[in-house]
Amino acid sequence: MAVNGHYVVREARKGKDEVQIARILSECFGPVTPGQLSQWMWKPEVRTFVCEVDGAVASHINVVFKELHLGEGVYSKTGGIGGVCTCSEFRRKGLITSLMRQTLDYVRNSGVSNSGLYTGLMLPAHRIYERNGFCDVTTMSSYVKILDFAYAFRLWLRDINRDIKVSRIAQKTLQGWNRTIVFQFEEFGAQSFYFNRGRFHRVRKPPKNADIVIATSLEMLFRATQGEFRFEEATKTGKIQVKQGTDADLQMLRRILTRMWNE
Amino acid sequence: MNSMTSRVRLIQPSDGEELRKFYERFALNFVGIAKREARQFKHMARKRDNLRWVALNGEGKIIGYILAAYAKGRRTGRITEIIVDPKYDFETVAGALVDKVHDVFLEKCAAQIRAGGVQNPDNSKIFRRLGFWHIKTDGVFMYAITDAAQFLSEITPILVKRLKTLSDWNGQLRVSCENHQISFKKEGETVQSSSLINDQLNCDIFLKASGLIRVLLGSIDVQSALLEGLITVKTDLPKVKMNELLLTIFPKKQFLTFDYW
Repeated sequence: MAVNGHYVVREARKGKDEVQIARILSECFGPVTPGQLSQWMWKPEVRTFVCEVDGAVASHINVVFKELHLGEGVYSKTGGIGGVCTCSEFRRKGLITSLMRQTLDYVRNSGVSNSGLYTGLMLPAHRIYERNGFCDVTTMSSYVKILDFAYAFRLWLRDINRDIKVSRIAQKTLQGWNRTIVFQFEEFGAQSFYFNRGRFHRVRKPPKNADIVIATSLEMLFRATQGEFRFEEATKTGKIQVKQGTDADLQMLRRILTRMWNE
Repeated sequence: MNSMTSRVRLIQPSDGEELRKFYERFALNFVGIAKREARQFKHMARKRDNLRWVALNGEGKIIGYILAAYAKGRRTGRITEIIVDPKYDFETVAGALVDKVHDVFLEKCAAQIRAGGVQNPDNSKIFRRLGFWHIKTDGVFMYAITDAAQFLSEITPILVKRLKTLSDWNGQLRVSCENHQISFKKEGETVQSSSLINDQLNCDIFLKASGLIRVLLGSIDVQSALLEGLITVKTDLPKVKMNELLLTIFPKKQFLTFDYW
C-alpha cells in the first residue's frame, strides 16, 4: 500500500523537527521530550533521517557509526541503526522501507561496508530488516533480581501507563475498554486494578466480581511479556492461570502488558 | 588459570588508559565488541556513586572490572558490563565484583537489579548464584553487509592471520560473497591476498551474505552453515583437510557487545 500524498526522505533539521520526532519516538519507545532528544540527536556522530508526508514528519531513523571487533584485533566501522519508527497513522505504507533504503545508501556512500541494529523478533519491523538484507546474529537476554516485588510490579504498571499516554494507537485500541483486573501473585499476594481511560488505577480492596482474574508468579508474567514464551502458550500450559476473563479481554490485557498494538 | 584475586577498589580516572588496554585484550576473545577510547573510561570513573569497581591481583594489576548504574527514582540498579582477564577464573573475579555492586545496590534500597542485553555466557554462573532470573527476551541483534567488496577487503587481514596459523597446508584459496571475491596464496608462513581471480585454486568458498555474517559473528558454526547451504565449497582437498581449513578461517567465536545505540 502506498502512502497518499507527497512524501520526502530528508535529513532532520535542527530546531525544526525535534517536537515531531519526539512525538513519534514516544509513541514507539516510551516517553521522550524534545529537550532530551536534542541532547543526543545533534551529537556529531549521530545522523538523523526522517520521512515527511505532506510537511509532517511521519518516520524516523538515526545512524551512529561505531567500530566493531570482527576478530583478530580487526575493527570494522559499522552503521549502527536505531530509533526506527513510524507514526501510527502512517504505518504499513512503505515509509520505513523507503527510509531504510536511503539510510543504507547513506551508510554505503559514507564508505561503510556494514550495518547493525537491535530489534525484537516479534516486531513487524523484523521482516522489513530481513528484506533489507539484515540477518539475525544473536538474541538477547536479561538477568533480573526483584528485591521488592510489590514495588517492582507497580513500577512496571506505571511505565505501561506512561507509554499508553503518549501512544495514539494504544489510546485508540483501548478506547472504551474498562475492566477490573486482579493479579494473584505467588510472591506477594493479590493486586487489584481498575483499567479505565487507558491506564491502570490501583484499587485497595479487591472487587467482588473482577472481569479478569489471573494467578501466576511475577517471574512468569515477566517472562511472558519479555517474549520468552507467548502469553497464550503460558495460559495453556498453566504458567499463567486464567481464573476469570473472556478470550477477547485476555487478548487486550496481553496487548497492554506486552505493549504490542499492531498484530 | 590463575584463580587468585586479592581485592577490589573503586575505578579511578587515572585507570583510563589501563582499562582501555585491558578492554581491548578482553575483546580479542570475542566478536562484536565496540572500540573504546581511554576518555570514555575516565568519564565513567568521575561518577561518585560507588558503582564502578576494579579487581586487582596481588601485584596491584587490574584483572577485571564492573560497571553499573542506579536510577534512584525507579529504585532500579543496572549492571552494564563485567570484564575479567581470561587468564583468571571468571567466577572468582567477577563474583567478587558483582557481590560488591550487589551490596551497594542493597544499601541504596534497590527494588530490582537488572543486567540486560547481549550476555556473556559466563555471567550465568554469577547471576544464578545471587538468585537472579534469567529471562530470554525477543530482542535480537541484526547485521547486514551493505558493500560486499569492501567488507571482504576489511576482513582480509583477519583471514590472513588465521590462515597463517594453519601449519601443514600450502595452496590457493578463494572466498566469494555476493559476486565479489578475495584470493589467498599460502606458502609456508607467508599468506598473500589479492582480489584477482586465480584459476589454480585448491579451495573455492562461496558464502551467502547471511552466511558470511553468521560464521564471522559466531551465530553459527561453519559445519552447520555448510549443512544449511549458507556456504558451498569447491575443492580438490580431502574432506578432513577442507574442514580443517574452514574451521581455521571461520572459527566459532562468541558474540558480545556492551555498547548500544
